[in-house]
Amino acid sequence: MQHERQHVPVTALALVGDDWIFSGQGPYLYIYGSDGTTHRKIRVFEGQAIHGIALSADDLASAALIWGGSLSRSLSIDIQDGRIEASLGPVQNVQDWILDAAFAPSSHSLIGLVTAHNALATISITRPAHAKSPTPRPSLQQRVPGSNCILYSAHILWLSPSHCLVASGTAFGDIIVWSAYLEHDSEVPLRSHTHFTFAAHEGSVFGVRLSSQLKIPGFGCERVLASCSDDRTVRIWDVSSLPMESSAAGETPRDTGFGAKISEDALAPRCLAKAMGHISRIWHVRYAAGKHRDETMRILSFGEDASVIVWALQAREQLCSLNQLRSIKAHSGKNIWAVAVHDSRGLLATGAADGAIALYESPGKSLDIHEIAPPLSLESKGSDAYRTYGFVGPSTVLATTDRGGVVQFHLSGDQPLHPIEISSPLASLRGYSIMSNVSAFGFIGGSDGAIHAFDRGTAQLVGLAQVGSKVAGLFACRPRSDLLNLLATTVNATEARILRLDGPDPFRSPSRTTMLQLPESFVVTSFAYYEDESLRYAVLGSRGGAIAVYCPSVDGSNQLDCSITISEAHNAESVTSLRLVQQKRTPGHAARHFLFSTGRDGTFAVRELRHSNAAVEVITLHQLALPFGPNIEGLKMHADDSRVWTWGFQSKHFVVYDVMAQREIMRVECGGAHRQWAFEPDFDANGGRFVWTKAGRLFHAQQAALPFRLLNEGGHGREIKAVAVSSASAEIGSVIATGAEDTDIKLFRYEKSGGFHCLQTLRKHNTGVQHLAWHGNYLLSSGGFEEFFVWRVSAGVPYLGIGVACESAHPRSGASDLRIMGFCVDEDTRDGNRGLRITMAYSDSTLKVWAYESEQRTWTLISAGDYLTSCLTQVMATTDHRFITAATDGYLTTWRHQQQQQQSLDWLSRHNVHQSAIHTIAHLELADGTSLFVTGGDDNAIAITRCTPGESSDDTGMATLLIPRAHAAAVTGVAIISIRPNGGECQQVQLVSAGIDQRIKVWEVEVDAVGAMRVKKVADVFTAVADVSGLEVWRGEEDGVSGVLVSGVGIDLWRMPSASA
Amino acid sequence: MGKSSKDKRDAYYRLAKEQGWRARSAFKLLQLDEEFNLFEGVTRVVDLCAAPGSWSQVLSRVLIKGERIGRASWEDKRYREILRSRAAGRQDLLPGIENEAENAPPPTNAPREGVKIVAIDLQPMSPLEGITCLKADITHPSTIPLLLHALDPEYTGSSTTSLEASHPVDLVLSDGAPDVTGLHDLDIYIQSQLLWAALNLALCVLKPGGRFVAKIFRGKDVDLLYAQLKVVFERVTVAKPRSSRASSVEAFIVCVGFRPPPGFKASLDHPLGAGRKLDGAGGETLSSAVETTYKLRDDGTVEVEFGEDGRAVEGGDVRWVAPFLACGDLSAFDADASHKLPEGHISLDPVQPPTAPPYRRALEERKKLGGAYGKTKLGEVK
Ligand SMILES: C[S@@+](CC[C@H](N)C(=O)[O-])C[C@H]1O[C@@H](n2cnc3c(N)ncnc32)[C@H](O)[C@@H]1O
Repeated sequence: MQHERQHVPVTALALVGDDWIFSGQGPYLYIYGSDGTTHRKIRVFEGQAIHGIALSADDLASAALIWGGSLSRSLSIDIQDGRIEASLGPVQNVQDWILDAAFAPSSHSLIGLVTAHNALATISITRPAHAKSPTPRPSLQQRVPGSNCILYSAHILWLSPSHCLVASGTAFGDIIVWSAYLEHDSEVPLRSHTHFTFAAHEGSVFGVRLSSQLKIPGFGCERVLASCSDDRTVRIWDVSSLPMESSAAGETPRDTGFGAKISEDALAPRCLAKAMGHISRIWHVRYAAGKHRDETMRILSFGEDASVIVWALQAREQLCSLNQLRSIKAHSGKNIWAVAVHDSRGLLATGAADGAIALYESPGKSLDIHEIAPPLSLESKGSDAYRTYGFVGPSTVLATTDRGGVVQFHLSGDQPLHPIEISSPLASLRGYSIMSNVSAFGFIGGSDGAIHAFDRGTAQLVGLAQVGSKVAGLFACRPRSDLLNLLATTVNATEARILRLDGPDPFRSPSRTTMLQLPESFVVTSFAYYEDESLRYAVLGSRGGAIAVYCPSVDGSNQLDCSITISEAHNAESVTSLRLVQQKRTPGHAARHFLFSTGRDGTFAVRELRHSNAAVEVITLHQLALPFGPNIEGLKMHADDSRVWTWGFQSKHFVVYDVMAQREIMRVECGGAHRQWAFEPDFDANGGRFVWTKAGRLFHAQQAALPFRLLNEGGHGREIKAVAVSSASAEIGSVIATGAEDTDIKLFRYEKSGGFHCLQTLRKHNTGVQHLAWHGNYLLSSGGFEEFFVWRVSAGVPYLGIGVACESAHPRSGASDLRIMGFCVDEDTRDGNRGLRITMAYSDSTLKVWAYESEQRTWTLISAGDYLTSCLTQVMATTDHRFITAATDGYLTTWRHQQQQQQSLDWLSRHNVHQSAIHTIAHLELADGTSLFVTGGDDNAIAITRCTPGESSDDTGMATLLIPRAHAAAVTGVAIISIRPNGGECQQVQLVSAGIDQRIKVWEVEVDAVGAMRVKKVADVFTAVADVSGLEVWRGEEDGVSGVLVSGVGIDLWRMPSASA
Repeated sequence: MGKSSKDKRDAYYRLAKEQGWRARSAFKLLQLDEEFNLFEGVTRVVDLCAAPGSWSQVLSRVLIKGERIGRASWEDKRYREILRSRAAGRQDLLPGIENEAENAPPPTNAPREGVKIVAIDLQPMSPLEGITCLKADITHPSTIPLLLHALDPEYTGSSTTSLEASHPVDLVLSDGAPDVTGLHDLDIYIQSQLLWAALNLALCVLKPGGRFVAKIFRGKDVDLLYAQLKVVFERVTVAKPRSSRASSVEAFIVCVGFRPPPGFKASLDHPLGAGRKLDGAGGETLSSAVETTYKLRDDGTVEVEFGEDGRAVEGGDVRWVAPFLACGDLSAFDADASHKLPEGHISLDPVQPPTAPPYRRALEERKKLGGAYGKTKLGEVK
């Protein structure tokens, strides 16, 4: 087997020189260039993940030590002309879990390591004199034996070439600070001293960090220690002086366990500050490079909540405080496991359980927020305030005021922002005005029905039209540079009008006005317009979630009825933005038209509009919840590089999110959704400008670069519980669906060049996903509380490629907390039925067969039956019309069902294969009419059961070959790779299995004419995926590579050897 | 999850409350005993990582009070009912479904003589009559003298070299589990350290032939642990009681026939786990057949063994996969199944409230601040 690709948690990081990122993912070291391209993938260990990388302190970073568990390996690095070479030394076993390691000052050969029992070891790497061979020869020395209880964290800092300072944190909240002195050239340390042993936290200490020597004017401390814990606090301690009183404080008998108190208070350093910010456990603390106004230093903390918090440590005389400056969540799911700080460049890198690496150029720098001066009140008495505003250019805002004034301002640089008057207060805009903007134009409607137009080019406001009564809504749309349409609605009217502005003097006289008849109680909230030589679409969205489509004729009536209304297009919530996209005609294919929309139901949707014989049909191709909201307010597509940005609010923040890259672009803390605001996206700058009102004041924030870059993004960040791969022959091709602990389902495409690319994230389950299966272009998913969804997946969606919409949710009984553990799907072949037959295995030992009719989206129970008292785990249908279920009691059970009549489902016979739960099952029909069931159990065993069809009610039809100790732990994935004749009537079956022991094994089973079986193991490899939950056979589209895909904490793809000849 | 829905989700959670156990774990020990007869001839026991104390309760009721706690207390009655109704009129199906629990002799109390039970945990534990409870970290070296003293009040602990109990115990239990971090390698390591710490204590206090039962995470490298345990015990089995969920990596290593390695001295300075390994005696049992063998069992299933025990791996360690045994009859409640609650079911409060987490103070603080702490206010941003 050959390793193809993995996407697993990042557990070690280092920033090497100015251009290189080293990352440990499973047993592999990846070397990335600064642009994110992978330069090297080096297998460091056979069966051990990498947990740390230490770099030599010389400028060139010519050596590194890589460790994981109790193993370590040295690496010599050679960087020349933008190329990097690296070669590994031999594996060394330090015999205990390594917590930290560091090279001695300006050394590339001496490394100190601290283990989980607070022992200090050193490794010295000697290079052979004849420099020809680069292989270093490391030698390991145990220096200070560890004898304390288990540590969760440690930091080793060399104060001089003969003095190591170590800080370490225990499981129950203690911190120990001690020194080891190494005699020059000697093998043993002469002395070690404990400086402090103290109860530092109320929970386990997960991170400790000693600062370098500090020389900060006005700050009395020369060295601090930062720590973080289970108790959610970050604490800073003054360790400027290192008392020598005690040499063995940690080893004397003492009160251990929670709530223990240490009497010797003298051994505790002074706590300078403590603060809380993370919502769960805190794994690491670091010091940030760079100094800033009125703060002493910056601290970074990294949490289980996958966020980074930037803290300012401020010291004023004797008082210190730790204040949160900023919180950034670049990763999805949970757990930042790895951190690297590049001191001189101020660069920060984090690696997390989602398998991504985030790079922050200046983590401490928040967006600059500026206040915009209030409008000058021209009348001497009373004040004025901004009423409504919008962008009329990348950095120009047009605004109206309460008193009816119209102003603009330029958002530039750090200048104090002052409004420029466009028009003195207009009576029609006094106390009420609304605005719509598009490119350089702004349209303002007033209470008397007047509509004014503004063009940034002339900076003039002109009267455009008078619609008779108070303007309720204005929506400008500019489908082409030479055409502008303005939709205007009036209060309580049943009609809306489109003003066509394409004449020679568009802002003085619309070339045409078209009246649209609105559907019943339709309050317009959004508008889009499209036209070409033969076709015109006007689309309106409503406050009630409906979308109405009109087809204005080129020269027909000026009075129009709506062609079709889609009620609840965004449930019952406002449709906030609409965009029409044409997919150009290609040979053999007519042009297609698509409608993109967002709504306050938290979703983003793509629908196709089909026009034939004056009728319009609307097909939903995509509609999924976004990871923020529910108030999604806007949408913009970048045609050239197919970026799709949406924006809206999430609790107190304004958020911009790229639907294609599935990443957050910008985030501003503004107070929440209920306010006036305007946003102008800037694709080139990866940001934009956001203006908002808070407590009667107007603010502005600009983002000109991404707050962080991401490598390898797209993972779940939580354990994957189910996986299914669609058939390469399906219209959508091979799509990997994964369902995780976080209740999300993700769809991935694998490409040799780019790896796993996340296409979509499906957020609808409220409980962990139990099972996933494909049926053509349908994806079906089940979970707890009887959750079951039918997803329709479509190819050919512009921008997205693959679109996903939830077609139906299985009706649930409501009160039940049953889990649907497994299910199988096939066509419903009963007379006169079209749809799917879905058989579900429940956690209360019942089996139910449902018919799902996709036209009407109805569900009918065909039959149901009970097994015994165990939880069913799997169900499969055989071609001879039986079901086979597996359960937690280790039995395979055969069920009989007749398609034609409604009846209760009954089991025929059961057969014991495993001692406890059957976790996984695969099925194969042999040429002689018998079937093979391969199962993996909680009992570490793999069973191969041959099943002869028959009606007997005992289990004589089943014969099992059992491999009791197939894995060292539960077997959670099995699959059948191939079957082929092997001489005479023998058949050879190739199987693959994976388990919680993180091994993937390949087996060859020979089945002879009378059904006797022989088995041998042909491969056994380590997978970096922990908690394996599933295994699927993979058949690649690109090069027909066949392999196996393992899922759990990450995904891992292995290429299979073609079956041995 | 509400109390009542937890009752449905987890039959053992409900049973524990109904039968007065401090934790559902009690059933794990009871089911292990059902299979392995753990308490036979046992009077002196050490219960490590014992809080909140349901295992100690089992010890107290079985050893001190002499109660017999049988299968009937965790049996799902429906199991035999369904089988019986299916078998109605089918003589061939009846054998094997007779109700053993009903035929069991009525329990009689038989308190044992000279019972000594010491329980240790990091967390404080509510007292239990007749049981010595200590609050200590089992991985800390100072715990060994503490335990020796609790077992033998005469033990002075003055000479640090004498780390052996003068009156050894028959059984050492450890149900220790760390707060998992989610970093699987680390969690497995910490769990294995708890196991080593328990074994280190067992080596000091267990009498030859004694038994050792400990929680184990069946994950990566668990076969390295099995291989080490096999050195000091005659028989090592990994057991999974029906009350332990199939979806959990937890299992119990049941070791019987303690055979201290000749010349082995338990050590404070050099505990097991931190680099120190057991080797020598018993090692030969690991390298048996090297041929693949097929064995036909009575039930017709063929078992295959590859004879590849004792394989050494990266870092030079030896692996061995202990045989697996599921324990508890199939009529026992299924810990993974959803259950219908018995008619008229009233959801009870837990016997003991759970211990306070170390982040309790953080939760309180957050509540005080209305859900958000440490947030910056707009005015402060520059
Ligand atoms: C699953 S509970 C034990 C339940 C117990 N057997 C019962 O039946 O109630 C695990 C216990 O291990 C304890 N523990 C974890 N690490 C420990 C350590 N290093 N020393 C002592 N106890 C520890 C925890 O405090 C926790 O109470």
